[in-house]
Amino acid sequence: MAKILFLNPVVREEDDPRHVPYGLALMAAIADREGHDVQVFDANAWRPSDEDLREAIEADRWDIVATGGITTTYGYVKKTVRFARRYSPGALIFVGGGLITSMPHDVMGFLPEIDLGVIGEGFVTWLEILRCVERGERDWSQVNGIIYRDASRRGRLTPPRPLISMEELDRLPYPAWEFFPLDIYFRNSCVLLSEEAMQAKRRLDVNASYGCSLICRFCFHLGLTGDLQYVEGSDGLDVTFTHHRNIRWHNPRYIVSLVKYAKERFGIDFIAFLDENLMTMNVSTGGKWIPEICDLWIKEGLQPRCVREGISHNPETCDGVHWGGTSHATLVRQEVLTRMKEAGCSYLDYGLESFSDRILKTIGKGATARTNEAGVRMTMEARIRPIPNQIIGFPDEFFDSIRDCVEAWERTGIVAKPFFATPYPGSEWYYAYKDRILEQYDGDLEAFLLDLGDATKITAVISANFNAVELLGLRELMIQRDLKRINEYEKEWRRIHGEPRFPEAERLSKLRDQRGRDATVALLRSSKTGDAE
Amino acid sequence: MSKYLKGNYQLMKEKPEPAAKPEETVTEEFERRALERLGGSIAFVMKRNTFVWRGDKAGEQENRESG
Repeated sequence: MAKILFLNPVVREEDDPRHVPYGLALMAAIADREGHDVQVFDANAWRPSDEDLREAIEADRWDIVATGGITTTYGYVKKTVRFARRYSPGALIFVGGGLITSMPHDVMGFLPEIDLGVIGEGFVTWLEILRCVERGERDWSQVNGIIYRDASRRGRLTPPRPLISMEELDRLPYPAWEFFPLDIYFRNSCVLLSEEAMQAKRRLDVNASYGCSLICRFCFHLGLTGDLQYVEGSDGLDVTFTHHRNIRWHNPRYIVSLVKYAKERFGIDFIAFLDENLMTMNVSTGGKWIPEICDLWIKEGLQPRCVREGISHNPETCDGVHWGGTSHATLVRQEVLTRMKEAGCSYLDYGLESFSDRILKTIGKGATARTNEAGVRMTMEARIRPIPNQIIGFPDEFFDSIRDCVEAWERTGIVAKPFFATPYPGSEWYYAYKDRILEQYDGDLEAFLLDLGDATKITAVISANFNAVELLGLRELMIQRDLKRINEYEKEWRRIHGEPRFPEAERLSKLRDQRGRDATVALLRSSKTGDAE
Repeated sequence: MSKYLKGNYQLMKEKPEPAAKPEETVTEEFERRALERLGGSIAFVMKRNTFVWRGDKAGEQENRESG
């Protein structure tokens, strides 16, 4: 039996803690089911002082200190592993998640305190590591799906770990939410995504599927969707991320049973589905998956009273569980939205990104300005709130694409302050524009990692035509819908720079010639025929 | 009398006290709070028209639609 300390790093420091870390809660549940001693120190929930962190690490003699998360947790993970090495020198220090999956050799180089990293999906790998620790074994070269240090302390990747099957996904334990300070999270249940989500008192998040079929150039899928591939280099194995896809989803019965369990045990009134894209899963099941979830939701008594009785939502008296998730403007259908509304869906997050067809052609999402607008209207008609996410600063962004967005916002009533286009590690943009990223950080990749946030602030600019100052100013004019000043600035821009450049369209054109058909086209075709990809 | 007017004579016409401001609906509260925190994933579609004048043509259009 091993003693394990899970450390959840601080993420989005500027905001309140709102999301129990789903992956970490699953890993804790797996360790618990295997009979290990588990403690969780949730730094994101507690926002502790350094002294608190030290005390937690010194509270026992841990066999394993496990941490990790998405790339933007890098700064806190750096601190955590330093503290862990100093105050728990005998522990195996272990990092997982997108942070190390996206750039294993770089992270092992930046953080010499790390002993082991789990690359991609950790469900089976984590179990094998636990069993090795129990047996006192330290020959990590025999465990697939990890990066470990060889005798010279260099990072070595072992062969990849295959993703588990959908049947195995349904045999996973429920997340160990009870190990986390739920009072803190419940105090911050409110999310400003719909009226019901704003009034939520006890919200938890659920991941009902893994991955996404689409190939958005800015997206990183954490190695969970078939995207992660290994390549043999001159210095051993390395990772690369591709358009290969192996999307998986839980059985509707697993999902609804999990929500029922969360309601009965924790009294939840809202579920936020964290899935990358619920609609691609629905398309891949011939349109059956979401309706089955909705039917079961209602059958199992989770339908909110206000929906059942057709009355206004009152958080004091409403029973059942409202929910929200992610959608796709081209893949959504009115009849699916109607079913979702009946089951209590109150918002759907749309990565619309832009209303410029010229830009949308370079994204890989398979959407157009027309489908984006239709998706918004269809969702409003179903009385579900669409969350219209927008981005500014695409590689080929120019004044025409900015105008297209502002005009569409005017037509549809969208109120948005766009994200900045950000080349996160693991995304196609990261590899395509790595030289440009490094130029902006004087060649210091770690400085870029430390700078990364949730893309609401500007970091590395990949726009060919605009610099950071211009993007900040143009975003402000977009929010004000000030087309007059945008047009005036275009004249000034052209006087200085002449004609715009569109390097992303050129890059993708070359890639298409090399690779043949775009995977997105296949998915969209299957959505029309109902065939799985 | 309007509390916003100051001058060198007394206005004659008394204006009735304005009715109490109606309570904010949940939708209004949601849109107000989302607007205050606008950015990134906090974005929304406005359900009601704004009060900003958008030119006579736009106003006529809105009147025709609402009428």
